[in-house]
Amino acid sequence: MSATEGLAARLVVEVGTLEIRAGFEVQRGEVLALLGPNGAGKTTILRAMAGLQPITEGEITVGGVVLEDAEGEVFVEPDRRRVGLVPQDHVLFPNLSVLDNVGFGLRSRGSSTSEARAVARGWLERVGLAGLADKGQRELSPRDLSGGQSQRVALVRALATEPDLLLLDEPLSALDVSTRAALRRELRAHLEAFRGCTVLVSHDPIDALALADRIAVIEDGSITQEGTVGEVSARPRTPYVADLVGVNLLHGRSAGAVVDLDDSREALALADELDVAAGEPVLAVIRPRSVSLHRQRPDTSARNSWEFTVAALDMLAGHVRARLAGPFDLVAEVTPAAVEDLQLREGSPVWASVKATEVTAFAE
Amino acid sequence: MTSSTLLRRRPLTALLAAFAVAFFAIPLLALLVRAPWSSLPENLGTAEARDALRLSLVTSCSAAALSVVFGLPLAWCLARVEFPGRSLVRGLVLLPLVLPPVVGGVALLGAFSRQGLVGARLYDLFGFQLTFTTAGAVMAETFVALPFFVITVEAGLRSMDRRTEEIAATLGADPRTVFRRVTLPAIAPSLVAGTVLAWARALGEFGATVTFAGNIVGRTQTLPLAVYLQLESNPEVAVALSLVLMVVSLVVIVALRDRWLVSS
Amino acid sequence: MQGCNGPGSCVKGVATVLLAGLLLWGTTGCSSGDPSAEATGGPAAGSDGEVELTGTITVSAASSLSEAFADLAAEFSRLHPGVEAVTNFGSSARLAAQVRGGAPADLVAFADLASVQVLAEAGLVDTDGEPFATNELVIVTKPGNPLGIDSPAALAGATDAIVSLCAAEAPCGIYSAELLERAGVSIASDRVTRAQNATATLGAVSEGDADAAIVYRTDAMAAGDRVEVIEVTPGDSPTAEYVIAAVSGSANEPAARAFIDFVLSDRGRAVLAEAGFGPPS
Repeated sequence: MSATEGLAARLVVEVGTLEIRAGFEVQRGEVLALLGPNGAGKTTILRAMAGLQPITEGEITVGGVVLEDAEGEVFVEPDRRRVGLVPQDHVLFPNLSVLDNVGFGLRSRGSSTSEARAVARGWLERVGLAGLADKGQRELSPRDLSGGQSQRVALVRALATEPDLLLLDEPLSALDVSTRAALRRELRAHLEAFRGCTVLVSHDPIDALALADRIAVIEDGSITQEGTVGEVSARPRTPYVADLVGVNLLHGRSAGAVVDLDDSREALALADELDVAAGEPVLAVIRPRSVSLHRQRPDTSARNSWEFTVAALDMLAGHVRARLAGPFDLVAEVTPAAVEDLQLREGSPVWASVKATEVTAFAE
Repeated sequence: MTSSTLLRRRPLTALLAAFAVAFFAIPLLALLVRAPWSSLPENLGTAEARDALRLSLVTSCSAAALSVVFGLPLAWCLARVEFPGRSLVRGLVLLPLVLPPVVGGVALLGAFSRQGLVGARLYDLFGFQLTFTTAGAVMAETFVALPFFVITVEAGLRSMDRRTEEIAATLGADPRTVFRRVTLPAIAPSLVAGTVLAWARALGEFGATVTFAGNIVGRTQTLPLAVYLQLESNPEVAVALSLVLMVVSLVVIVALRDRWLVSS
Repeated sequence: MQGCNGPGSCVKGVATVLLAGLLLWGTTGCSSGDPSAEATGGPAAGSDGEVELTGTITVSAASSLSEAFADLAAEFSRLHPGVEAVTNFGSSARLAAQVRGGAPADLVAFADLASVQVLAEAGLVDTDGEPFATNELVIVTKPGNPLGIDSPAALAGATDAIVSLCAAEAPCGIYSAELLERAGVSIASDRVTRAQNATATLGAVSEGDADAAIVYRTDAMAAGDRVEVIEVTPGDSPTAEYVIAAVSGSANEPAARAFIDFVLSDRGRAVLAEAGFGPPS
């Protein structure tokens, strides 16, 4: 039906009383992030695409091949779909060695044990686990791995089969903060190299911003907004989207613990040293809620303070988004009481500050 | 928790547990105390005793094997397939657990004797008779042993992480491969436990066997049947045979438990 | 329970007492080693003559007596409303072993003298028992006697037939062995299925697939038309002598005594005759 080379999905899935409707396309080499609160039906959509959850209406095609068509009663079984699914908490096969976990897909698709192991070893090398897999007398078991290592194995287990469609279900959310940042960078590199379509499910906008080309926001079982990362974060259409992805995205270049912003001469101080080579492009994220406004130059410890002019005030339910113009554009979110207090009007001057710990930066 | 902590922090638990152990251990101990140790070799050396032991091993192992062959698919269906009347089927399967074995034997007669619902057909068409045959003894033992296997394996299937099966499917494994490489290894402990329970139950089975298969020396007279009959004439032989029954099952269960049944 | 006198730990002691209690609770009466546990019976008045009987008596009787003694016990309880007669049926040899092992019984009614003698030797009965009935053996087959078995010789000759016999040491087993011996025949052991008692021996034919059985006439009669009865030539069948005896040290000897008298009475004889028993020889 669709002319797309990649994934085209238009589906209705019923889970208990919740009916989930979604339609989206993903080109080859593209990453789509399905972003939404817990319980919105994101995982169900992934399961439907993997063939683990039948759809009640609609159609799923990959590369022009119909995988499922509720009306035409086509249903390709999960083992014939060429998808790779990476679940939230790795779900490795506990009885198999790490090497055989990664080789499982190849074995299932007809490779010999030695072939599968050779390929698996190559994939483990790419995630820096090859040495571990071969260490010692006995083969390394999933039990011996840390959370981050397990998730890396789960990722290459899915990639090793060279799927047409890669499905990532909150791949980073079970990890601790420092592991998450490291794995996010690795994942990004893998996704850039991956030639198939990727659908990433997350409730964390940072994942979406760092990894995805496009975002589709799901609320209460349907997609409320879809677009590129820049589009969605610049013009959130619902309060939830605003809350979730209505963030300040600032492009710049790495300079140690600082980001030199591209569009101004200002620099953004970070809490920690960036592990991105100096001069490389980085993206800095600041949540509007983390921006505090003052009438005078603040004498707080916040090193990131600039003077702006209020360009617009958008009233939203319960709070106000203040769009500020100055050395660069910034959105701040404050309470109506604060607007009153600071006597904010369009055109009035205001100081804005952001704590260094509130700035998230990563390689672009 | 060490045993000294147990006694200090949970004296009631320790007391009740000790009570349970005593409840089992004392009767078994009594059997050991009363065993005619000096005449044991001669009591067990009789052709009848050896026949009974051989027959018991053959029939109980066959019953355990049949329990696996038919019980595993059944347990899988009960655990994985939602079909109408599933709880009814489960109840039916578990019925032999509560049914007095003799009644089980009578039920088997109703079904598979020469006048039975199915047995009559078998006999008319093939001249095939199950009663008073070793096959009949195996059948009676399977009847009472199967529920133990099904209940254990179904629990294992339900408690395993089903997502590993789903992931395996997405990786291209067909249902058979999924079962062989993912499901079976995951339920291996309950599979072994279920088989051992079924085997042990079959080994000790008396009522259904004597009712359905009779008590023919060398053909259907298993150890428990020999024990029961010898109890009147030769209590010493009966106790000696019981000892054999206990030792055989204890060895198997302890050996398997160390290897399989305890997941560390 | 005497075996549990280890180091006097409190846990062990308590467990032992509880265990003993549980075991007693599980039985219907007291153990012979502890008569006080069921001293509810006995004469209500200590004088001679008519006394009001009360309490419970346990009657252990051969399984071939099941129906007749169930009737007798019910009738006895009507005559003596204060007494509950509990019956316990099984093979005589088994029951004798049980009583010797301490199982509760106030009187025993056995299908042979040997079983009573076992108890007499152990000092558990005073007499060799009172004969109260006789029984004879018959051959039973499936209805219509499809294999045409008309004698012990035919029984031994029917090579495909499965024959149900009583356990070798039970009285009915001893009698059937004697019957076959008198007829000068034997049945190959691979066609003999041995049942626990007389009732089960018959059941193998009436309910199961056994082709023939040697059983008491009384049992065969009770089975009605589910079996065909083949009479044995008079003289070939040994006569089973039934004896009844009170167990020494019974907690309720007067009631046990009264039950025996009732069995020996004309009314008792009539009930037994109705079930197919012969008069004592």
